[in-house]
Parts: sequence; structure tokens; C-alpha cells
Amino acid sequence: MFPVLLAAAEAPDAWQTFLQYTLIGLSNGALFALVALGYTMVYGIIELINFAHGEVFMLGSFLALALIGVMGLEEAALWQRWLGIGLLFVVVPIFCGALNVGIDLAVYKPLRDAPKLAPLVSAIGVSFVLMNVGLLWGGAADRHFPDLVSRENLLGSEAALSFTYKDLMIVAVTVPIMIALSVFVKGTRLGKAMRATAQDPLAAKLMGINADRVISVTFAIGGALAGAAAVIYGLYINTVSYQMGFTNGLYAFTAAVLGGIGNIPGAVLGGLVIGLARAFGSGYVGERWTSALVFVILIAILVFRPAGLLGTHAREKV
Amino acid sequence: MSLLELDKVTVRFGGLTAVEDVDCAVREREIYSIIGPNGAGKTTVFNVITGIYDPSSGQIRFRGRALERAFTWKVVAAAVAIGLATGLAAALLAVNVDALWRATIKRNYAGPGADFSYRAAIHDAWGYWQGALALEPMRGGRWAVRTADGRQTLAYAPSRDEAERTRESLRQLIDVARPGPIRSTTYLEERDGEFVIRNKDDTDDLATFDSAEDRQSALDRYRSLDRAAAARRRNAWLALLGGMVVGAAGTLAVWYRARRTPEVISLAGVARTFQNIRLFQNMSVLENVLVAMDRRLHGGVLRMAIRTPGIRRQEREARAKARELLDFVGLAHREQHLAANLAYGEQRRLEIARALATEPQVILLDEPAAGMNPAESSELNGLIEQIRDRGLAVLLIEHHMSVVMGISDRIAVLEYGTKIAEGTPEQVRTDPKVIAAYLGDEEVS
Amino acid sequence: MSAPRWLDRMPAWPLYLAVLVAFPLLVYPNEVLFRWTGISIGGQLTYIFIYAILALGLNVVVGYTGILHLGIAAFFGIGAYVTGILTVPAYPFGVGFVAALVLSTGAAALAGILLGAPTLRLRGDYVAIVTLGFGEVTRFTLRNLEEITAGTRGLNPVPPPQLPAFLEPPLRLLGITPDWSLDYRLFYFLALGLLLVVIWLLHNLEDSRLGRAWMAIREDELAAACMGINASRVKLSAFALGCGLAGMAGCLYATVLASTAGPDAFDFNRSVLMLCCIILGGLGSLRGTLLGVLLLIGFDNVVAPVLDGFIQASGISSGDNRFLTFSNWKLMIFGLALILMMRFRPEGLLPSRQIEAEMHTPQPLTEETA
Repeated sequence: MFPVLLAAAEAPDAWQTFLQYTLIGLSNGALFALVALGYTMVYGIIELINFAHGEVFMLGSFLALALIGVMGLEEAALWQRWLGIGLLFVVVPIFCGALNVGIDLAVYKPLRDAPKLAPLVSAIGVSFVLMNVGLLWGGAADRHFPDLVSRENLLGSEAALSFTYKDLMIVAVTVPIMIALSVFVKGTRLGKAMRATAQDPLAAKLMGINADRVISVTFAIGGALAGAAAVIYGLYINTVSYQMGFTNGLYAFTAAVLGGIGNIPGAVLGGLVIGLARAFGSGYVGERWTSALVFVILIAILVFRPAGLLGTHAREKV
Repeated sequence: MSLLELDKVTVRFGGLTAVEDVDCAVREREIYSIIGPNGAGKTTVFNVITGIYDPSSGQIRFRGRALERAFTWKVVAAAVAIGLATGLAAALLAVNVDALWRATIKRNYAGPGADFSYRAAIHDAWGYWQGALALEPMRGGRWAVRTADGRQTLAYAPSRDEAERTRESLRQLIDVARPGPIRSTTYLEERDGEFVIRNKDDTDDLATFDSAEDRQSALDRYRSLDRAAAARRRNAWLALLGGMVVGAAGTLAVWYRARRTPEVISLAGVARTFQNIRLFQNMSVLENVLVAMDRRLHGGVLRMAIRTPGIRRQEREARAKARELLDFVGLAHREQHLAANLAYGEQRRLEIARALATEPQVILLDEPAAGMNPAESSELNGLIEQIRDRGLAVLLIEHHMSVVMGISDRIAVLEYGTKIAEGTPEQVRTDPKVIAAYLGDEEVS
Repeated sequence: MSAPRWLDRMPAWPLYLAVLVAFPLLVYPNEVLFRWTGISIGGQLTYIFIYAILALGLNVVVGYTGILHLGIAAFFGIGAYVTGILTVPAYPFGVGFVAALVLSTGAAALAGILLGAPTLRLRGDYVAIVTLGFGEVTRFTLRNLEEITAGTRGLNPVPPPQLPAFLEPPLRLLGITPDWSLDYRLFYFLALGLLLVVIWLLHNLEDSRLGRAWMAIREDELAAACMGINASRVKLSAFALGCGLAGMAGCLYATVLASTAGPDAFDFNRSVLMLCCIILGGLGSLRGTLLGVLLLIGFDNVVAPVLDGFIQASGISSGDNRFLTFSNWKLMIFGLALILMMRFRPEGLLPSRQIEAEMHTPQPLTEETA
């Protein structure tokens, strides 16, 4: 990081550039955090890396793309467009949530008592199946996602920093979602049941918590978050492909691990760290080396904090 | 001197104190029992002794020494070596290993059959570090003068000799353009409407330009080349330094976390069994014992892979030793069975054999009589005494009072994580605090 | 009617070996199959042997030691590229095959140690994600170091090994032309020979101090540690050995292919395909791993292209309909295979005795305290 900062200080307008990268990093990071939350919540409840999560995200963006075509949003008037986008943010999360719950019921649920490797490997299998569905649905090539949200700079077209309507959209969607999520987990009965199940499934069951229902809700919420992220991703990046679930899922999962898997604030923190690392990496080191940089940061953090930034070390009871 | 000594050991989990200020000392060849109601913290004491938990405070000593991996020169050497390795790797990436490869290997090797000299390659690596200019052949016999990383082309020349000359004058130009004590007026001249750059030392003209702006932009370009090389060197040093710090600190952090692990404590001579049996269920009885003899066996991967005669002999001896131990606990006839298929009492005895195979000086038995019928448990009494007679100290957690009272030399009583009594069976049996503890919750085991 | 007892007791492997040795020497079967399918089965078997070495390496890590390794393809790729760099005529090193084999194995093992040393102490799931990440980063790195690795094109030509002169007469006697590019059977026997050596070494290791320690750690890491086993070192040895074998397979792959192939030959799909092989065959079992490789790689390299060819030839599809191209369903098939195996036969087709038992023991309830 240090040489990077020095390089920044050397260039003219160094601080402006730095701020710009920070902004990009934070908005991308919020997107990763949204996907990471799905990983971390599921892991928290049933200790499973849900490899298929990234593919749920990918299928969500394919659905959004199809819906835009059906509704003819590209040619629609501005108010219709916003209405349509609003509709996307409702339909796609519902679809992804339902898909996620369906996967759990069909594949993971029968393996609840099996050794840990079994559901994990099944999750990889589900991921492959869904990836193949994406391939058959969208084809092997990248698909263009309509550019529905304006790229106009909110700070004025002459401003040195750029913060567009797209960036605003990310903030306007992710921040309320995260606040709502933390209120839900902390405040509601179901949220408390969720935390209890995460901490001790057996005890939670003995206390009369319906573990199956809690697990289903967790999958539904995780899927819905991925669905919302999928819509944002499509509108922001404007390219979707059947492989995007894997690459973005990997980043999101790395974010969850980095923050301490199973830990909800950790996933958000991890997402932001990854977003920033990617933004600074592609700004100062080079786009090509971003993923390597993220990986090195992951290893370095895990060496010093083996359970992730906010994770607590689980002890085995003997 | 006591063999194993707990000194004011406290274990807390979050806000919960499981064990508080427990003192106890096990002497050599002694059977020392810990009893107490359920949840009194007995197993926690075992876990803290065997390194599964770290004590929140207090000390555990074995033969007067803390049971920890020692901080030796090896740790320092490993930290230095790993630090150097990560530092070098980071520095290589910082100087751009890809361009370095081009500068050292590719430029020095024309193709199949051509000569290649490692000396020249090393020389060019140094040139790359210094930011020297390099010559690269082009199609049609022309030559290009490029920066060492090959990113920028500064000039083309029709022949190699010409290119050498161009490179030399460019080198001097860069030298002149470098900001230094001699300021611009001494080597910049305007002559007959031409704008000249002169050598600093003599009067040779290095380059002429049509306008002052052209000359200035050329100078700026040369300066930026120089600055880029300097920046690369600085980044490399920083990366080297950063990599070394992170690598060495990481090694030390890992060592620090691993300094008190169960395996260190087992190697020191403390073995244990588990309350909820933890055999390697799907390995055979014999294999279970052999696993525990791991540290007595030697030989690297390669020797094991090709099964040298030495390894074979060692393996035979280990098997004989393991059979002897199985015989000792009365499981010799079961050696090929899967551990999971043994009866409960047999599994408990196999755990004891496995623990003994680590050649301990003290063995910790966690409720060895649990689930045994009276006949089995009296057999167990004999076994425990035999273990003591082999020269071991035994630290025992047990609920069966017949076992505890029958064989213990001394007994400690725990309640709510604190020791409320200690002494011979007779002293403990008549201690009013013990009677209160046991009768108080109306559950006499 | 029952077979005589000595036949019952005789192991089956000499028979399989005899078939594998006889198949190319008889020439005729391969030619007939070639006429039917348009694919040289013998040539594909060579690749199956190479993938078998790769799968055996992965099996050491996943099967014996129980570490989920999702980036084995990266080490396969490291082996291939080290061989490429050391042998292609574009670079001055010009190392021989044996040296390249040793160095690629060593380089991949070293990479495994460098990755494993800081990470193998982590929780199992974290190791899975770290290996997955390493696999992807390696692929990007191979692509990005264009000066060294020639980017997406890969390094070529990787020269074939030097054939010792004393081997020529016996080879001619067997009807084999001593020229690597003319007769596939040289590579066939080279790969088969190396595979046999690897099997023998692993078989020995299974029943050694190290093999027992690996399996003990898989079963119960804490109990193993309490028996004085240095879990992180034992895991590291498994990791290094597994990655080293992957590197060896990579070297062989590059040599047989005469090219390192592009970086994308070493992607996540390749890693998961190898994982599928060992899961299908049976984790931790030598025989199972070999069977899994034969089935899945055979399917991938032989059956799938043949089916695609039939579909094309029969005129059902002109090739531009993606639903009717068989290869476009491959991920689905592998995915479903994984899901169904885990659901109905998690121990694989030819399980080791031990894994079979483990897969049918319900997970012990462990409570976690913070």
C-alpha cells in the first residue's frame, strides 16, 4: 500500500485521483458486500459455502435483462423507465430468493447430517448446473445490458470528481437494504431465531425454534440480496455473461472470508475492503494485477487474523 | 518436585469463568483424581493442560517448565528466511518481472543454436535496474533503441553500430538532462537560430532543435525516463522492505499462535483420553495405536515412498510395540477390527493404549469407567494401577466412586470451577465441604 | 459354479495392466476403434494416464488428508509452464526431459508449500477458498506475464524426450517406430510407466507413518494433535506431494501435447473435473481414483466429441444451435453427477474401506463455544 500512496502523491492532482478511486472502490465494494451477505448468512446458519450463490446472482441479472426486453424499457419514457427499474428490484430478488430456497430444499436439506464435504461438493455441482443454465439461456458470449441509468455527473459536468446517477443508485439501494437487514436480524423474532440457530443449532432447536424455517428464510434473504445486486450490476456494468457469477461470486466470497465468515458486519467490511483494493489496484498497479493483489491481501490478513477481520475463533468442545 | 503443576489456573469463556484459580500438583508415579459434580470444570482442566484451551491466567508447568514450544534460533531463522523470500518476491513483482525477463533472457538469446551467456544476462539485469537503454533488432536489419523494459522506443537506426552510437548520445543526453548541480545555462545554447544541448564537460553538441519548446520537451522526456527508473528502484526497495516485514511478522505471528498446541504438549510427555471417545473410528485398532507412535518413527517422504529396508524394519518394530500395548490393555485379539466396531469398554481401553503409545510420563484419563459395568470397571482399576507401575503418573477424572476411592493416592474436589478440597481418599470422604457439595444438589454419583 | 479359490484370491490388477500393455502393441484394436469414432483411443489413453497422475495427486490432498483443494489445475499449469520455459527453443535453457520432469515437480511442490504454509492452519472452508483463489490468480498471472509465457498462445514447441539409443532395437522389435511424433505408443508407454511408478509410491505411502497421519487428521484433527501429530506439517506434506504430482502431470502433459496450451486450459473447470473424478471413483482410494479418471476423462475426451460428431453427422443440428451441441451440456452433466453422487453414493464407486464408513457416520454434534 505504501508505494502505492507514494506514487499517488507524486502525480499531479494526486488527492483528487485518490478520492476518485476511493469513491469507485466504495460503490463497487457495496455491491460485493450485497453478494457477500448471502454467502455469510448461509454459512452462519449451516456452515456451508454456498458455491451456487454466485450463479443465483448471474441468473438474476439474466432475468433482469429478459424483463427489460419484455417491458421494452429501452424505448420507454423516463417515468416508465424508473417504474420499470423499480419493478426489476422487486421481481428479480423474489426470483433469486425463491431459487435459492428451492436449491436448499432440493439439494442441501437431505445432506444436513452428512459429513461437511458432501453439501460443499453438492454446492459446486449446483453451481455448475446453474452455470450451464446460464450458458444455454444467454449463450457463451458477453451480452449487452441496456444502459438505463444516466451517466451524468451529479457534481456537475465540469467537476473534477465524478459521482454519477449510477453511483447514486448503488448507494440508494445498498445502504437501505443493509440497514433493513441489521434491523431485521437484531430486532425481529425471526432475526433473533436466526442468530440463535447460527450460534448453536441444537440448543436453538431445543428452545422450540423451527430450524428448517429459519434456514429457508436465510436462503430467501441471501438470494434476494443477490437478486438486488444482480440488477444493480447489470445497470452499472452493462455487460452480463454466464461466467460473471463465478468471478463476482469469488470476489464476494473472498469479501465474506476477509470480514470473518458468518459475521454480517464483517461481510460488509470485507466487501468494502475488496472494492477499495480493486479500485486502487487497477488505478495504481494495473487492471491485470487486481485479482492477484486482492488475493495477496486476503492471505496477508488471514495470516494475522485467521478468522477474518471481525470473525471470532470457533473452539471445538471436547 | 512435582511432575505436573497447575498454578492458579483460570479459564474464562467470554464472561463465563469455567475454572478459577485452581492449584494442583501431580507427583511422579501417583494416581491423582479430580472429582466434582457435573459442570464443575474438570474436563476444562484437562483441556487447558493439553493445550486445547489457553489459560486466561495462571501457569501450567511440567517438570518445572512451561509447556510451550521454545523460541529457538530456528524460529528466528525461519522468520528471516521467509521474510527474505516474500521480500524478494515482492521486489521482483515491483520491478516487473515480465520486462526483466525480456531484458535479460530474450535480448540475449537470438534463437535456437545461438549463444547465450548468463554473464551477459546478469549484466543486463543490472542495466535494467539502472534504467540503461537497450538495443533490439527489428525486421529488415534495422535496430531500435528502447528503454530497458521495452515499453518506449526512443530511436531507430539502420545498423547495429549506428544504434550503439545513438544509444551513447542518448545516454549522455539523459545524463545532461538529469537535474544536478550544473544548471541548464551551462549546457543549453542558442546558436545561429538553432537550439543546442551541449555536453556538460566539453563542447560537443549532443542535439540541436529548431525551437526552444522542442528542446524543452525533449529534455522533459529524458528527465521523465530518468525519473521512471528512479521510481522503479524506489518501489522495488519499498516492496522488498514491505515484503520482508510482512513475511517475517507473519511467520512470528503464526509461531506465536502455535506455541502452545496439543501436539507440543503431547510431545513433552502428557497424553490423554477423551470423555466422549475420540478414536479414529474408521481405522483399525492397530492403526489407531500406530498413529500415536508417529513421533518415534523417522524417515522422509521419499524413503517411505520407496520403502527402504530401514523403513520396513522400523515399521515392523513399531507394529510389534503396538501389539505389545494392545496386549497390555487386553485388545490383542482385536487388532484388525475397525475401532468403530469395538464395544464401548473396549473403545475406552483402546484410547488408553493409544495414549500410552505416545510414551508419556503422565496420562490424563477422562472418565475411563463411564459406561462400564462393575466387572469391567474393577478390571479398569487393575489396568490403571498397572499403568502407574509402568512408571507413569495418572491424572484421573471419574464419577465412579469405587474406582476413585479404591486407587487414588490423592483426590482434588472441584465445584463451580474452584478447588474446594484436596487430600487422601479418607480426608476427602470426610470433608464437610465435599459432603455439602455432593449432597447439596442431591445427586450422589 | 464358483471359480477355484486361487483365482478368487488373485488380484485383478495384473489383468488390467496386461490389457493396457497389449492394447497398443496389437495395433489392430486401436485402428478399428479409430475407424468407428475418428478418435485414436490409444492417444487419448495417454492423456487419461496423465490425468490419472493429476487425480492421484489431488487424491493425496482431498482423499487422504481431507483438505478440499479447489485449485489443483494451477499446479498442473505450473508444471506445464515450467517445462515449457525450460525446454522450448525460444529460450536458451534447453533442459532434457528428465530434468524438466524433476524441476516441474519440484516447482509445483514448492508453490504448494508457499501457498500451504500460511494457509493450511486455517479452517477447512477457508483453505477451499484460498486454493480456489490461487487457481484463478495463477491463471491470470500466466496470461499476464506475456513476455515469459507468450500470453494466451502458450509456449511451443515443447520438444519430445531424447530416446536412449539402447532402447531403439527392442522398440523396433515390438513394432514401435522410435520417433515421438510418428508413433503415439512411445508417449503411451512413457505415461503409463510414470503412472505405475506413482501408484506404487502412493501405495507404499498409504501404509506408512505419513499415510496414517494423513488419515488420522482427516478423521479427527484434534485427537491426532493430542497424539503428538504436527497437523500443519503433516497437512503441508500432503499438500506439497499432491501439488508436486500435479506438476509432474503438467510436465508430461506439455511434453505430449508439445505445447503448454494456453492458461485457460488450467481453469477452475479443470480443477472441478479432477475433483469429480476422485469423488466419482471414491475419495481416498487408489483404485477408485483410477476408475473415476477413466470414466470422466474418457467421457470428456472420447464420448462427448464422438456424440457431438454423431449429432452433426446425423443432421439434427447444423452446429449453431447451442441446445443441440453436446459439449454445451457438459457442465450440467458434471454438476448433476456431483449432486447425485453426494446424495446417493457419497463414498464413490470403489471406495476405500475407511471412507465408506466415514460417509455413513452422521456428523458428530460438536458445539462451538466462542
